[in-house]
Amino acid sequence: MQHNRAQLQQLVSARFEKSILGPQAFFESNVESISKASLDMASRFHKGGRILTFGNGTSATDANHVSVEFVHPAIVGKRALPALSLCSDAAIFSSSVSEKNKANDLDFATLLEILSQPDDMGLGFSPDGCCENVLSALKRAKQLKLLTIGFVGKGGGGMSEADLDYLFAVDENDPFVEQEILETLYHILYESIHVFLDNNENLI
Amino acid sequence: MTEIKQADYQKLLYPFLHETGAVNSEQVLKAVQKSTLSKCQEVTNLREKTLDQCGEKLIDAGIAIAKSFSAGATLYAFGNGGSSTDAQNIVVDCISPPNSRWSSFPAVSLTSDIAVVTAVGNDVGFENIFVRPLIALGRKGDVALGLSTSGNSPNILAAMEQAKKQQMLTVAIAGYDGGELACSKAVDYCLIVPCDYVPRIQEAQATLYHSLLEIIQEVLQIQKKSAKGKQQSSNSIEPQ
Repeated sequence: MQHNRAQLQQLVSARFEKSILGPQAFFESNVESISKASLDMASRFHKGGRILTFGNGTSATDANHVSVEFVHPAIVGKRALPALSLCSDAAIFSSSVSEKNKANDLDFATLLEILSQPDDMGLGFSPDGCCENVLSALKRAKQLKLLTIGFVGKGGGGMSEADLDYLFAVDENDPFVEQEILETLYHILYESIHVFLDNNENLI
Repeated sequence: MTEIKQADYQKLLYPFLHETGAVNSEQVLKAVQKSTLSKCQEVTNLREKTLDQCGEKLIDAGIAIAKSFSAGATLYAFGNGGSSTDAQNIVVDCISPPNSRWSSFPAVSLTSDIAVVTAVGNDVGFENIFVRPLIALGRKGDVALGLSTSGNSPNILAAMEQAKKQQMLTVAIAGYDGGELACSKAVDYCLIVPCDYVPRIQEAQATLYHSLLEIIQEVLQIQKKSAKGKQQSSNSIEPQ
């Protein structure tokens, strides 16, 4: 198999360079809203709220990842917090619901309506902000008084018009770098929420 | 990972929270903001270190996987917890690549069939949850890609050993010092993110496998082009 090693080395260096240079601008411009979102989320957890996560494709794996971070924290000694990913059940995902005698696909919005409670939080992931099912779920979450947080790529797409409580838009053209920045972001949210919960006497 | 290490890490990032005295929300907000920026710095430094230490091995692993794909291999990815979502992420990127110029490749996540995972876990033990489906599905020449932040997950190690028995190509992505995966003879390539804190390990591992996917696609495209070139040149010498 023919390949040019130098060419591959260049490819790898360029990939890592993007991943090394990408995060700083995002975190510098979002640092305040990240801390405020953590406090709001800690406060919801304190009241008994839960996280409900959703996304499509690789974003579904981010939704699953966030959820497991809370249920089983990788930081030893941190307590388990309630989180559910709406994308991990193939049976639910491929079923339909009957609404006014009409069978509809069971989408994220409908699932949220069935599962959610008022103190819950809806976390939606969409690389371009235009995934119809994620957008409609976030809008429904808003109507249901959930705290709404959108994780999105450049520009925010339709999410920027959804009046979410928090919108984290990564200004990045490369989908891999975008995913990596969002992963660091949700790790930081999870780490920070535990800090607020650990110091909750006067805070929440 | 020891509890002491984790506690130290928290202390390092939020020093004043561990001093005596009153804490108000403004103080905690400020501390969280400061630590957010230092975490960002930490992961970018870690990526640099990872590239320095295993950039060449990453290329070797990418070439080996590309060769396997071109010989008809299926890739099986697996991990525990957050790493299971990385396995799923890799599989989605193989089947439905983010770049429209890229080709799709056969990949399966061994973490998504909860019937298999719980059946094997319950009947023969959690250590075998990936071993059993590999016995059923894996063929000589296929690829096993296991992720473990500690490098010591018994079920990932067992799966690697099983895959090697079946003459599969075995690639591990680990953290810390690579743990037992780094020493295992069953592992052909062990790519290590040298860090002892799980969230940052996972973030740098994402860069590793994103880069791996890019190498695979590049190698296979070069191959496709050169095959096309050969075909054209052989066509040109054929009698009209």
